[in-house]
Amino acid sequence: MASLWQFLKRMIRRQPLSFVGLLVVLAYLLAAIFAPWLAPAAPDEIALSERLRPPLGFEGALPHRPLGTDMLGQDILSRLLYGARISIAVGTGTVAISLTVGTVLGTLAGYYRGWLDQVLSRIADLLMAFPYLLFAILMMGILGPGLLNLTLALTFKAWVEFFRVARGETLSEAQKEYVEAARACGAAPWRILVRHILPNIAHTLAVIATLRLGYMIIMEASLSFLGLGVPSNMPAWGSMVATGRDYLLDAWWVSTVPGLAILLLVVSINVLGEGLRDLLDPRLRSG
Amino acid sequence: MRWVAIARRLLTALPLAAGIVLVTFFLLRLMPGDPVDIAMGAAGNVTQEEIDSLRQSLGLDRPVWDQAGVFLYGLVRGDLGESIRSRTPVTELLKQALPATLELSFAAVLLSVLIALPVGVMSAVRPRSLWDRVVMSGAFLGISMPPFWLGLVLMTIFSVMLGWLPTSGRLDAGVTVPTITGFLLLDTLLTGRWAEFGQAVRHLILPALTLGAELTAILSRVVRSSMLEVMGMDYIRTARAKGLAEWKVVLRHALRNALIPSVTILGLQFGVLMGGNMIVETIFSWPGLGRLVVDAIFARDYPVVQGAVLLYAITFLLINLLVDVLYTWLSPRIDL
Repeated sequence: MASLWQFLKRMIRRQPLSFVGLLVVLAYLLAAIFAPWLAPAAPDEIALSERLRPPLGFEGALPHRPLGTDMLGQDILSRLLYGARISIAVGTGTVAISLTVGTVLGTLAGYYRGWLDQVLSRIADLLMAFPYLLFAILMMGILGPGLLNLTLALTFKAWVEFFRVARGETLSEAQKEYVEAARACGAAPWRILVRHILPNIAHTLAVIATLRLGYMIIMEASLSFLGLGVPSNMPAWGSMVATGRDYLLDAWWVSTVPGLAILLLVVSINVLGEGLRDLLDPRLRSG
Repeated sequence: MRWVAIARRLLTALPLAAGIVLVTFFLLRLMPGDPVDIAMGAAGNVTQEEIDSLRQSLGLDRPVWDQAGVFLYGLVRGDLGESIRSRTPVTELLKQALPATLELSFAAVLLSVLIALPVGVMSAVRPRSLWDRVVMSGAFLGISMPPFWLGLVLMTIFSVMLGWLPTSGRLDAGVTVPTITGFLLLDTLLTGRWAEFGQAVRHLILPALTLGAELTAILSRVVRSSMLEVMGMDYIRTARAKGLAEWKVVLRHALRNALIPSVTILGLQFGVLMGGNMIVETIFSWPGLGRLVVDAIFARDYPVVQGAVLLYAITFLLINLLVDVLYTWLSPRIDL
């Protein structure tokens, strides 16, 4: 706890902007958790008499519908709050599983090399040559809509990046003297991997995980936009943007507001990620 | 020696492309939903006999392994089968869609380079200036922007509100241009149709901006950071010391060396950009590969998806190779 506090203090001093990013991300997280208490209405409550009302501050706005309503009269704020649950769950779920799978396979392949490395690296090459969205669309076609399926469909390709980084880092770490020393002392391979190599590559992986989180949220939204995400009665941000497509002129807010919600979250995550990178692992900096 | 290396790289790319197509083949068969049912459902009342005969003529009544064999045998002969929906040869559909996609992709890359290069260099020349801060914040937004949303915002502003640019397609409705290359900008120029050329350009702007937004953002950051790095080198100090004009130092000495990372990123991102065209082509009703493959997946039109994925993979592998070749050209010390 004390070291976390120290780290936060260092972050505020050296990367104040990424601290703001962290606060925004936490706010989204709280909003998602407490959505049922914060939302003024049920996300799927239809009120045709209140359809296509603008956000507060524009003519015709309703006081109890602060961000306006869509063409079914559903409250956009409530849908946003519930939609945050989907985006955050799928985004963090994908990154967490991919990080775990990629790290385990990558360190094993980098340490043992040989046939295991050959097989895994060829699979990785194969997946890399698939356009991400295309692969995810195919997987969603097989799995069908749903939160878990969405996470799995994205994970099937997302682990590759963590695998490649973990493998490369392990390859170079394994050459170093401290690993040689541990081996000379008779440490078992799993002990070398877990106690010696993993702590030395963890920073890099953590930074990449944060930077990938924003991308996964955009991917989830893209799939939902195409109608391939969660079941259609669930309020995903991507599908909210999609439903507003036909009302660009008369009701710009229907697709603009959820788009801004995605943008703000992803910007905050990326600011946080780049701040973490500069604090933890400056040599990753390339652009 | 270089040609041998290129040939070797091409040969190793072949099994990879084959693997990709096979994976797609089996993924498609795992999908629930029957292509013939979907195709016939759209046609309305049909008899069971008609369904069976269509299924038979498409070979879909045979075991999956048989189908894979037939598909691979056709592939070797350059035959990708025919679309289940339209009964058009897949190669024909791809031939129509590929130029549209390539034209859009090249336009997006061109716009990105044209914007990112000067912007990145100007930021690096005056780091931490107001210009630098504004541009880099813009680039940050560009990286975090969901592309489908950016497309809609651009469309709302420039098409719906201002009415300056069209919302969909490659040409206005009802206008056609004789096909020579399939690239509308070229075809209209070759046949001297200036009005149609202008129209094609106007149709191209918004989709290309949307598709290229992320690349523009990434590229301007890379150009900036590699320029900053290079500007601190000894040979830059030497160039300045011998009294060269500053613009010469920046453009002749620094830029060429700073370009190497940009070329890498450009190559890596081209694949990402092509993969992003499904969204952009769907929004702007662009008749390219992305829309073709999305529609085909929804209709379970197996042969079309297989052919399109193959084309994507080949393009991706070729671009990777091209980047490596460009690399050796920019920096002769690097070998293939």
